[in-house]
Amino acid sequence: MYARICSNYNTIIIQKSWLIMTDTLQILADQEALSLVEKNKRKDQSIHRPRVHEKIQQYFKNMLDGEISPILRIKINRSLCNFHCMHCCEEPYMTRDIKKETGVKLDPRHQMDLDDYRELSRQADEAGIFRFVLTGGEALLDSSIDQLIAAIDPKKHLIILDTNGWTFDEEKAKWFAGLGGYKVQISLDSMIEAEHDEFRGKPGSYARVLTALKASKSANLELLISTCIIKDRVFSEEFEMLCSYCKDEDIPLYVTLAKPVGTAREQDTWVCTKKDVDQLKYLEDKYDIFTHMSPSYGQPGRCITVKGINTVNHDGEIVPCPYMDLSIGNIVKEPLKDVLSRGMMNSWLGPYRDECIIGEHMDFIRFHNQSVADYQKNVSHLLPVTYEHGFGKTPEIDNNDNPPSPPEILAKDRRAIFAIKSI
Amino acid sequence: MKLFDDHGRRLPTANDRVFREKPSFYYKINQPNFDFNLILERTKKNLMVIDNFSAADFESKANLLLEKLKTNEEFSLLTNGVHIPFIYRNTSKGVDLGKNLEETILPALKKSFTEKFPEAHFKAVLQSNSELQGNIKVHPESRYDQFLDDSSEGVIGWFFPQAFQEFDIDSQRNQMSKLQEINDVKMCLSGGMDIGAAVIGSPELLINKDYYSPILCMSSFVHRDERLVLLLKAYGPHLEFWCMTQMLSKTTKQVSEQWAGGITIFSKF
Repeated sequence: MYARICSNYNTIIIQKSWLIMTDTLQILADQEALSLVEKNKRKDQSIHRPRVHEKIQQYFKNMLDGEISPILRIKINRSLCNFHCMHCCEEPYMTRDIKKETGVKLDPRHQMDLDDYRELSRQADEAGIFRFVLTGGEALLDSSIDQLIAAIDPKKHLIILDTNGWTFDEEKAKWFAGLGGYKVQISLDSMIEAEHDEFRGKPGSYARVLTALKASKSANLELLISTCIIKDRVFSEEFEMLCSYCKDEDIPLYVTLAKPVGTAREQDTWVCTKKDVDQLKYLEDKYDIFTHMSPSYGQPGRCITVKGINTVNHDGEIVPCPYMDLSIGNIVKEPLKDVLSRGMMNSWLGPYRDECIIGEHMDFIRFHNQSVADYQKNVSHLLPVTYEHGFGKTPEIDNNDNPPSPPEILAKDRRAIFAIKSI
Repeated sequence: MKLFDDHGRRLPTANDRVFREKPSFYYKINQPNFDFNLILERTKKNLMVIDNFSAADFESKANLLLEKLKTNEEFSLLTNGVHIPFIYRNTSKGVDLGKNLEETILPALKKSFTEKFPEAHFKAVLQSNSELQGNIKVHPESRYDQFLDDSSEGVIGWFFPQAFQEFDIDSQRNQMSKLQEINDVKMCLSGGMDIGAAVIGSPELLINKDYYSPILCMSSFVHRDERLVLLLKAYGPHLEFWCMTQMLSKTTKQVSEQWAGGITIFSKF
């Protein structure tokens, strides 16, 4: 019934019965939603970063057992930043804000050192994790970022740099590529220059972003544009212009939803509705755009808490989403695997749900913001809220003790396959 | 004894594993209007030919069936929940369930859905090393064999998609052995054919501009790899079928606020 076309990397299965049934049938095996371009990139990984390639294969193999391989997003240099963005969720973590709010002269927080990051890299590698994002504030303001990249180990992990592009010129792009950097994600919040600069609170930043994009391409780095949407922006002419620009430039567009946290905590009117999110899902079919909730790596579109992206705070606290202020544990004090397992068993975070809870679910947003307010009032001004004062007060899910075993034949031949059927 | 709550959701019993005892219904389905004419037309066009069956026949038989449930003291509350009429004839009796899904139900779903929503997509994704064909069987407690037997002659029925909202898959399946059979109304745990037929007739069921909808678990169907389950879900304005893992970790199965098992009642034409 099947014609199999095998290469050393990809397996493409064409099922003849489907070809009979419909003109447009294609059944693609291997990782879901991978374009040929993406597959070729993966093939490159097998040459340049064999350990990364091995972990990706392992992830697909073990996914049916519920195994996760989230991105770890490391906030560096105490979130130091040269911008003052209107929608910033990071401001409360910045030394400048802590000094302003508490009157302290020295930032009292513990800062992970290079040995801590080496240990994190080791544990992440052991857990099959293969992606690290370096972020801030502005990550490039960290003068020892080269040592940090070496500590994380770009041979074992894909290193992705999150930047506002202000200093990312050709020289810096080549430097990052030379350190083993894999990808750059550059923030662009409007195709209208004045709007972007105003939103970012930094005149001239739009022009620098365009320079940074060009520099990234010249350095042969993987690249994406990251943009933050507030309510109704997806319906604007400007957003369509941005989508078209990304399409013309062949740059994927990563869309984040403004969250009512950080400097935007009072901005309830910015919160996107399902209408906005649905429009993005239409546009995903038209442009190369995606959100953190888009289907990827063989998983349906869903909330990515713990499973998709976790932030590593300066002091080792793990926050199960880039936009939350509540921790699920501290990896300086306990193993990473234990922290992630705890997160997966939390009723808000582990179980399947479609919506972005911090961006759309008002019950969760209220719980989150109340926990932050209570913590800052009664315990400490320093975020994130530790586990016992936040998620630790919410229910864990019941365990069950009769896990099914994979069938014999699949256990012997468990190549990972994700078939998309275009019916 | 009260079996269902006021929203038509089964009250959890001992050993049921549920997300919470009282569901939040954050995930909603709007009760559709019953346009028997349109449902029959869509079903005839996309799924099967039923020349000698009118919308009036469909409506009267469906209403009669529903009335029987309403007059049953223990089951009447079930009808407070969302319910959707459907009509289905299995013209492939004896054909493998997975093959029937792949070759008949899913293509018909795509046609019906994209006719209603031409800007949206229907996608079917299989997570695993397996095909549907040859890998799907009926859960022994589900009473779905009766549905398959009767549907070879043709059935009309009602699908109650949120009867087991927030139950984990095992608890949905175990529930059917806890619910007694009732006179004149055949009942099963919902599976691929009845859910498929219901959504083919009412393709807007899971599409909602304001709310997220539950994920419809085809829990009567058991994959040979029992880690896998079959689901129908909205992805924003789109509709998707997934064969995906129910494992939250190696030792723990999913129990989600969004996942819902259904009850289907049916009678022959």
